[in-house]
Amino acid sequence: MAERDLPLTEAVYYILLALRKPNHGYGITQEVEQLTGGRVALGAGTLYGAIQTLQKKGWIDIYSVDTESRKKKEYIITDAGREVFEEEKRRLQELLNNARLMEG
Amino acid sequence: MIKFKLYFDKDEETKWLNEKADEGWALTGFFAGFYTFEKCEKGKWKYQIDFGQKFGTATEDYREFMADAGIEIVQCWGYWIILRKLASAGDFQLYTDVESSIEHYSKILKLFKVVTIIEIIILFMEIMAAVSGAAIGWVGACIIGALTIALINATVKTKNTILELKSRQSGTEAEKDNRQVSPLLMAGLLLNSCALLMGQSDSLSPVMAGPVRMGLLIIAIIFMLTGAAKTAAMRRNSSK
Repeated sequence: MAERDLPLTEAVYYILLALRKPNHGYGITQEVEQLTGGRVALGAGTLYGAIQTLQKKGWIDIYSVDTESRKKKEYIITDAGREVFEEEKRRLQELLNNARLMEG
Repeated sequence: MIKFKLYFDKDEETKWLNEKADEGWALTGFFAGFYTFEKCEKGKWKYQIDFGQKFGTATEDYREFMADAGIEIVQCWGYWIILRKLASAGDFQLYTDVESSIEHYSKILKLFKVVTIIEIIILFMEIMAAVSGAAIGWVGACIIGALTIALINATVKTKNTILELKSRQSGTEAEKDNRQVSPLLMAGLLLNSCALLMGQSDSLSPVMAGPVRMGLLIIAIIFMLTGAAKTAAMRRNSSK
């Protein structure tokens, strides 16, 4: 993973999180909205672009395409995606740890 | 209902389409500036315009994705994709963060730049034809000239949109590009092309054509001169 991948945008962070289990486009939007209490509402263009980019980077993958039952295309996070997410978590943790300095 | 309009700004176009939908007119098709509307319940649809990856069509993947989100593709035109969603299904925004908005407008900027260059090449070809004797070339040159100005303005406007987004992202004040060209110059060029065209056609009686053509020419020249002066003034102010 390259250094320039971090920090993740808020959208990418939450999309990766929503894809810890198989999920489809609209499902991602709904879950992110729920997790953030409606603060992060992903637009269709933003989400579509992010899914394309994340697939290209190999951070997410297509989970299932069941065309016969017209089931929606689902995505899931990959190992590389989890690694990036962990890296970002460490970065955010550092920010929060340092934030304690404000209290003292 | 069919309406003709030329938009060089997709945000203004989107606003207009949504206003129409609020009035009870839903866009159902678009072809070369002609917008086809159909009566609908007031405010039934919300419209948005996206910039696609392929010319003239949307990828299968994109279609599926939008359909799943309850979004309908109304029309693909060039790289533009006109979309709509039922207003009852909630808010409809395409790009909801600064990063993806910058990416979106950057793609648009690239297209505007390429088309502007093509227009400038055509403009030179028209002028060359006119100089070498084909007087009708001046008519074409004036029309292409006006179109080139519109595209330059669209390019500058898109650039400014991106600059503003970037300044919001980094928290610093961005310096705006003020190299817009006055629309008066564009109007002058178009009027001039009309006057030139009238001079070309033999069907008009000279008695009628004479004064009308003269009047048009004078107005065209006034417009072009004022437009050029305004453009120069705008640039001088911006370089201060």
